[in-house]
Amino acid sequence: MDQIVLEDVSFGYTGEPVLTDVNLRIGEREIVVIVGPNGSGKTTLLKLMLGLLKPGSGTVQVLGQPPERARAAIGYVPQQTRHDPQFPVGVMDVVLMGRLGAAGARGWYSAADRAAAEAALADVDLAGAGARPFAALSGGQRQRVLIARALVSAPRLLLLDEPTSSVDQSTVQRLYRVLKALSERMTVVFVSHDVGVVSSMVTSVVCVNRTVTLHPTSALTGQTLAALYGGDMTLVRHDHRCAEAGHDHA
Amino acid sequence: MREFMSDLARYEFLQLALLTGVLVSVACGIVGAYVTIRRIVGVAGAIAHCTLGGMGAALYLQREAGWSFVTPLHGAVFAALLAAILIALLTTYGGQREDTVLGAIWAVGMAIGVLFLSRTRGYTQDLMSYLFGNILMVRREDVWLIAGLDAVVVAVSLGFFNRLQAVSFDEEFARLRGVRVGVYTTLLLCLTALTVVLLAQIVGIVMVIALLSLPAAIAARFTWRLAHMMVLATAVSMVCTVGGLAASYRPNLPAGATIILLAGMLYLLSLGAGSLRRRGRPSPGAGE
Repeated sequence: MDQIVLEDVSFGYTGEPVLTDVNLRIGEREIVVIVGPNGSGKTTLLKLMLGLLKPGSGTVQVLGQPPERARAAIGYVPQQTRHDPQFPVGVMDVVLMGRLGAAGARGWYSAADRAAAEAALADVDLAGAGARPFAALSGGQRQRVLIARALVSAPRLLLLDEPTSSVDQSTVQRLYRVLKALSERMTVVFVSHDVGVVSSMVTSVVCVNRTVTLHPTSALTGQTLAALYGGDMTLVRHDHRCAEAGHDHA
Repeated sequence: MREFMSDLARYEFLQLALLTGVLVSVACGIVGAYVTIRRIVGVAGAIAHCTLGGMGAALYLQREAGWSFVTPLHGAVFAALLAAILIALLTTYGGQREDTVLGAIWAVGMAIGVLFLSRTRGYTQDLMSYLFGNILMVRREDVWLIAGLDAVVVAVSLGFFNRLQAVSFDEEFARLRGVRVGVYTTLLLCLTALTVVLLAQIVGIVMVIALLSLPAAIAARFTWRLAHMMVLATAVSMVCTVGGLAASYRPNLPAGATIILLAGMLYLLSLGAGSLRRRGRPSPGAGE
């Protein structure tokens, strides 16, 4: 079954169209990267999948349901730049936040919640880091803590917004290894600027620029993405079956 | 100081003042920590000033309309909760600019208070104690209400600790986990409102925000977990209220202002101590 289905979706902020005529299907245990220039609608696309934004027209279905009803099964990793660096909180406290709601109406965390949080930290190579202050971690470590927070509710689908922004290159490789390993267990969709590096590890590339084009990596044989970015981008190539309006590579 | 101790054993008004200071410090430390991390000191300031409207109206009803069962403290509680709910409705749900709403609540509340007080006999002395506090005027029957409100604030803010922490840290994520963010935001504003009323009994409505923010800010220099910050802020708040009361007693200084100055001095000291402590520690981000 397709885990994420967008049909004829359009979205705009106060009249200004951001995305038009988006059709997209993402299957089980795929690992998919969403790429596109700044302001192209990558984060908007992710927020539509989360149900944080409602499409102006068209339908979004996640795990066969409207996204806001599928949330318990979605793990979400927001851009870490949104967090207050002075916030007094420990790593374990942050990871446990992922157990809210999904773990029921209880206000307090149980031993099972803590065990799940330890396991999620181990999944991102941060076993035993629970007692450290969140603010004292490096950017890459913080990013992995946020991934652990998303994993702790045992999601079937993991959505990440720019997980590699503001982390250094060696850390990026490590993050990708973590995501690749996770894709054995769940569908992984992430937004990235970093088109070149990711093409080897993902099953599909979703190009966003006002509209959306899905490229299975097996079909990435011809054209470059250079035009999409207007830069020197030669690593990811595809056969250019995507010359619809809004995805002009010329 | 010796005179303060001997009079403390003798006079009930001093015992009530001290008891109020210690009780209110608990709510102050816990809610002050939330207010500081959510950066809503300005909201607390607006609610504090707005309570003058409630107190003025209550005093008018009590003295001029013969409603002897109404006290200014009742009026303050009513006005503070009304202000908190209005702010939540207009900003969180209504999408209005927050600083516009706060400015309106702040000034309109005070205007209502000033109008009612001007129609009430002997108002000038009351006005001064509302604005700048008079902990030595706390009455026995007020202490019961203060203790009750204090217990409610502490119980609710600790009972919903995990949700309030999650909403404060990352609202969007909390919403995605099924936490009703609007409800908890409103709840936090109501807790802030009640704490503001309690603290205003000690230092008055003008200086409330210093007691709400400085002990928590001092605590934040030395801890990195919210729960620890609350405990430490409570202790600092007790030091400020008890120490300020004791220090002001013999020279007959206004207790509220003395408490605030003590808190301000401790904050300055903590800035120095905190930066000394941080020196020699590896910088954040080292190790990967």
